[in-house]
Amino acid sequence: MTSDLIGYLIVGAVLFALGALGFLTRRNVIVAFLSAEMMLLGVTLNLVSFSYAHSNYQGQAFTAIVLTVAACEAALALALVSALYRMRRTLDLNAWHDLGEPEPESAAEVPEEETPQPPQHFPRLTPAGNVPPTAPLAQKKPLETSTRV
Amino acid sequence: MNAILEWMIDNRGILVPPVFGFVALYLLLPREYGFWRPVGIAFGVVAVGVLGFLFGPAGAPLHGALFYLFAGVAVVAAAATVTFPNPIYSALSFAIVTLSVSGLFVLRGAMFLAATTVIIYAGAIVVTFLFIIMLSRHPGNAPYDRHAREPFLASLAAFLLLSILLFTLADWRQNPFGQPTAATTKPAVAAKRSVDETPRTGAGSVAANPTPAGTPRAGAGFIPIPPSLDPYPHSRMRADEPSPLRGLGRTFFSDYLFVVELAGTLLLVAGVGAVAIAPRRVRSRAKPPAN
Amino acid sequence: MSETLQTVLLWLIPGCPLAAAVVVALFGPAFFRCGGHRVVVSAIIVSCVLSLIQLGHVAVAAGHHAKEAGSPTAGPAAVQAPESVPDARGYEWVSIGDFHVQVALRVDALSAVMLAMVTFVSLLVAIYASGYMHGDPGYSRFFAELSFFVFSMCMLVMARNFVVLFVFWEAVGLCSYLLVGFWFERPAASAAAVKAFVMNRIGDAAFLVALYLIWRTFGSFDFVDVFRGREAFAEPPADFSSRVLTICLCLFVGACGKSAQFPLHLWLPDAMEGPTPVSALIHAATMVTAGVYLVARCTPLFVLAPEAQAVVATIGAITALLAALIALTQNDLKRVLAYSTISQLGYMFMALGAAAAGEVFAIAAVTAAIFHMFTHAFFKALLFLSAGNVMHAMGNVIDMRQFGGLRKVLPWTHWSFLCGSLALSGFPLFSGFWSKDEIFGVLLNATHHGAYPRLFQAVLAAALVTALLTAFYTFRAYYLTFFGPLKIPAEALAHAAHASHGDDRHAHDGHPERENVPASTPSVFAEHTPPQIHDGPRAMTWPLAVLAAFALAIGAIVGPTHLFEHWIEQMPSTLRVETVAFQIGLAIASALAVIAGIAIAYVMYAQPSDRPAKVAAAAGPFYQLSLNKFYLDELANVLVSFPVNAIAFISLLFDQGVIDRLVDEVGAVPPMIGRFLRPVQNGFIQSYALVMIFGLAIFLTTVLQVWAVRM
Repeated sequence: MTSDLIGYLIVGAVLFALGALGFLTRRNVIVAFLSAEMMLLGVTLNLVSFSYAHSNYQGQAFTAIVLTVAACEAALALALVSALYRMRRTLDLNAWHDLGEPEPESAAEVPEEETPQPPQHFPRLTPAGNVPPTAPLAQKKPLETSTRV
Repeated sequence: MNAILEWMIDNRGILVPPVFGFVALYLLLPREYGFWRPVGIAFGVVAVGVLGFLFGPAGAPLHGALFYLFAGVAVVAAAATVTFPNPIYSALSFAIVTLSVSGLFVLRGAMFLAATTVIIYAGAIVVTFLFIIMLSRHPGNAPYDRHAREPFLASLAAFLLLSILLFTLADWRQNPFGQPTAATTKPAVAAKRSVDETPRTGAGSVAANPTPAGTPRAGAGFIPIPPSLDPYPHSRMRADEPSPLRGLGRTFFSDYLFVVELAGTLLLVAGVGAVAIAPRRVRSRAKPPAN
Repeated sequence: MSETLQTVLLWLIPGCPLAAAVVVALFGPAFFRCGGHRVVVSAIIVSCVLSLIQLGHVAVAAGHHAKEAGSPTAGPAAVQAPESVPDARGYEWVSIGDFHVQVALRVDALSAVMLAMVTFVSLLVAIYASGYMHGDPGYSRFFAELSFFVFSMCMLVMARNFVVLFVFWEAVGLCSYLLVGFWFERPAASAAAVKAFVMNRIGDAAFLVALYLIWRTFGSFDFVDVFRGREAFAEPPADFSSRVLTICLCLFVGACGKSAQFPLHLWLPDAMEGPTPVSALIHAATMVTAGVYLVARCTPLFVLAPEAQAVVATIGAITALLAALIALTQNDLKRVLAYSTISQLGYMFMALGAAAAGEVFAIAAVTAAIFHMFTHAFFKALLFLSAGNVMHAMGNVIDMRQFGGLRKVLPWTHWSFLCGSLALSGFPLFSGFWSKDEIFGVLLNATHHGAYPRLFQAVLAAALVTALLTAFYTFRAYYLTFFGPLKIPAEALAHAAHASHGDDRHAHDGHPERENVPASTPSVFAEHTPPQIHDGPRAMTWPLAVLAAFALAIGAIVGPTHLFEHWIEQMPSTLRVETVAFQIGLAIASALAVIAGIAIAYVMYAQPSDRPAKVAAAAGPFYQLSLNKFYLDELANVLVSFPVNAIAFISLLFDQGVIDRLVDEVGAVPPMIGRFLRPVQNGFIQSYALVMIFGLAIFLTTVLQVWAVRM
């Protein structure tokens, strides 16, 4: 023995599911946004029905808050959509996927750059005082020439 | 596998609306050629009909008729919102959905909310978006409006969700909380459940009590909260109230005062944010000097 | 003197240089630009004064001691109680169970002599370096490191247990590394620094083994405990003798590394790459004598193992002779002095080994070694600083064939070098004569007493030959540099011209950019002297004068009076004392050898002639052997460097072929996984939402248990 609450809940669920479907499939920013609003409508219908069933106003209070949020959302969405439209001249959601990774092919094609290694000079231990016969002392020469092999 | 098949046969009635709805919406979603569209409409009609048949409200005839009217219009208009390739039609359909839902609000005694919903959604949001659509209008339907994105997977996901909700609700209708084991349950299941769920039926004695003001309506299927434990005493509906709006106002300014203030702040911030985000006209002085 | 005051004064000796080092290192370049030496010099002055005070205490105590004991030369002297030795409390550094290490100071006679020598020579060298290093970009760094070296050396000689000794043993090694590689932008200098450090590691490893054995045997690191020797035990362990022998040999290997004895001496000639004051202070006067100090300090242990002392004497003799032979033919002035240092250190070890004659002669042997170390510090520092002056004037040319006849041009340098040479070669009545004679005395004594008369006869012969060679090569360097016609390399003229242009920044041997002057044949000035060539600034001349005075006089003051002996016999040990009489015959023999050496050098090198070439041709392969330093470096390369390089090469192949490949393969796995996962994150927000809704459906199915409820 149930009340007629179930009917309203069913309608709310259907609205929610159809809104989700619209958000998932439609590529127009505006329609996707309207679908999201439709999901919100399904939820508010749920809340109002429960409010009636419970004989209190909590659900209605929630609904009022949801309406407020929806209004804010609409204002911001309006601003955002017009800004986005200015940038790309389209309302296609597919035009905005900057969060994604680049395609694997393009990542694989980047050749590994051979960074030129500077020639390394390892100092070698000099035999003690092994002075070449006539030249002035090797240790007094400038830096480049004093590495003896 | 057998168990799942058996379960599906047992519940074929409830399975019809999601499955048919899935087929209908899949066929109706915007695509290049509209050949299958009528078939989709046919499937949709069946789905909505079965849904109404299964879950129709019990009550006064007038109420029932109005409910069928609003609910049917809302569901059909929602499907139309999603499936119209032309975004203007979509927006108009969404306005119809809003109006229908407002009708349902009225049926549930939320006159104030019905009014605000119409004002905010139909009056403000839809109209604003119609403006945007018209300002950024392609000649004819834009290519991105004529092609749905991932129609099959998306429909599957949405109707999977819907079918889960439907099953849950159907189950709940057959065995509401706070009620003794329903006679409508199958005997075998009922026998099993009477063993399993004795704790759940322990609260059934509440239904025997006379309903005081603010407790759930008869047959709602809830376990009521005792009045002494209710954290929101001002939010209860009172039998002697002249208007529901009065009760709503009391709720807002007593139990939900802080939340209401917060919502007001949120509106303010959103307004400021929208002004900040909105694109401004590019002045000529922003151009770099030519040299 | 109250105990607290005593503690403070003792701690100030190393504390002042440390504070100066920290201050100059932190604030030097910013605050003292060219005045970093003032801080360091004043700190070392304080240290030096305090060290001399400590030496005075020792002298006073020795006086009392002599009065009490009557005749100090006869009979067993009473062992001085350790309590009367100046002592400074420290702090407990390590305390693990029974294992305690205290950082505390003590100054007995040996330490006091070392302290006085170290701080005094350091003071003079620091003053000299303020002139020599003037204008160097690393001026402050040099003085910070020098000051830190003085601190470490003071701590080393004042340590009262082996652990602290070892720590500062390493610290002076570090300072040596830093200062040899002071001009680190020159590969030769950094290579020499690394070589010195690595070769010291060999000795230090042996030292560590010795420390471990000492701990296992005596259960303590404190000198007083360890040096009680056999008396430290109620019942000595069965293998006590062999343990002590092992300890002594390991300690001696450590001393070999630090003091550049025969197998490990290869680093010292290369260490001449450092600035000349560093060569004078660290690689001639102080740090290299730390090995001698260690063996002298451990004499109470060594007398328990005469075999170890025989090894010490043998290695010392081999080193002394070998280094003297190499020094005969070297053309690099600083390297001649470096080999001479090695040779003189060999003398000291010979003297220490002569304690094998018997316990009663141990103090005499130690005295001879320490006496020679003391005099050597002065005259070798003098010689190095003079050589530095020559380098300074000659535009950093140090090859003796490129200059000559500097007698008139550099009078100060000439006289100080002559004093140093006379002292080094052991000319009668100069300080080297007295100290070397004492060494001959104890060696001769060892041929009569003890277990190894034959060995010590050979050692004594080697010592006498080395004395001859020393005189020869010292005066060869002297004549080549200061006699003959005036000969000045082109670099010197260019350098002097540069300096006389009013540029205050003198260039020294650390400035590669100033050394691009093309090397040409030396200019020969027959008549006139170029006016630019002169002795260094005053800071570089009067330390030479002071050192020269000491080189002349200190031996005569200390030697005949047996001053050291009275001091050193107060070391806390159980040794009885018996002195060795002055051997007049030996003195005459060594004096004859010295004079003969000088005479040969005069004949061959006083005027340019073809005699050296003839002698070289006659000597043939022996000349080549000496010129190439007996091919010991090449031998070390083949025996050590080549296998190590081979192992390193194999390791390189293994590292690159196996380990790097392994890491690369492991590193390739994440990109492979990423290649499959990357399409998921495609940036389309609706795809994300799709996945989310699927997830929500699965979640609700699980949470609401739709299946379970309906079935």
